[in-house]
Amino acid sequence: MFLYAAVPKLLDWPGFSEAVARYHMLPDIITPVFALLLASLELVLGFLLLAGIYTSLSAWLTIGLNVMFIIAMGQAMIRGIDTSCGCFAASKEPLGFLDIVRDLVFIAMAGLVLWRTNES
Amino acid sequence: MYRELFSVLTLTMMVALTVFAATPAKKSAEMENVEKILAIFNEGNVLFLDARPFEQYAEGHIPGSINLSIHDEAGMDLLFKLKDMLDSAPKLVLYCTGISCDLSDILAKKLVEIGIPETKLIVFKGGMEAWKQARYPVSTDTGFQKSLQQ
Repeated sequence: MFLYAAVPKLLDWPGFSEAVARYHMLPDIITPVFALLLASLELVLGFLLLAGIYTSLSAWLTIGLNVMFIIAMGQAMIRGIDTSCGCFAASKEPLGFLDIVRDLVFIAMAGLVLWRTNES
Repeated sequence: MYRELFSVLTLTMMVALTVFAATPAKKSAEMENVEKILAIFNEGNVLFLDARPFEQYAEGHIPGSINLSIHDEAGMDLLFKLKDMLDSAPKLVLYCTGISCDLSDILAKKLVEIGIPETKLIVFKGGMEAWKQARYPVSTDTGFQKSLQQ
C-alpha cells in the first residue's frame, strides 16, 4: 500500500508538497523537504515490508507514520480546513472520517506484522 | 535497532536526493501563469469562478467572478441554477486562495460530474494570492452574486 501511495507522490513531489501545505501544519519553507522525505520514507518502508527486511522496525515506523497522518487529518477536520486527503495521487475527494478509518486499518495491519514477527 | 534505523534513514535520504536530482526545474514561474490568466480575463469571453467560501469572496475577488463554494448548500444550489450559464460560457477559469488550496480542483471535478466539458476548464493555481501579488484589479462588490442567489 505504501509503495502504491509513494510512487505517484515521488513522480510529482512538488504536487504532493502542495497537498502537505494545505494541512497548514508546517512553515512553507520546510514543507517541500518534508514532503519529499515523507514520500521517500513511504517508498523505503513499502519495499522493506514487502522484502521482509528490518520488518519489526519498518512496522513500528509504519505505525508512527499513520499516527502522524491521523493527527494531521484530525486537526484539519477540527479546524475546518477544506482539502482533499492527498494520500493517493488520484484522490480529490474532500477529507473525511473514512480516511482516518483507513489509516487505523493500516495501523492494525502493521500491528499484525509486529505480532507475527515477535512470534517467530 | 539504531543501526537498522540509520540504514532506513540513509536509504530514505538516498531516494529523496535521487528524486530531487531527477526533477526538472520548473519551466514557468507563477508570475508567467498569472499573466496568461490576465490575458484570458481581458479577452472578456470567459467566466471566472471563485471556489472559496463566500466570506473570502466578499473580501476581494477577481472582478466579474461568481462565487461557487460547493462545500455549502447555497453553493451547490447555485451550481445547478447556473448550469445553463456554465454550459454556454466558452471557457471557465476556476480559482481559490492559491497554490496551497485545492477548492478549485474540487470544483473542477464537480463541474465535470454535472456535464461541463473538462476541455473548457482552466484551473488558475496561483489563485487570489498570485492575482493580488501582480496588483491586478480586485473587486469587493457582491451585488451580482447576491442577485444570482435570489
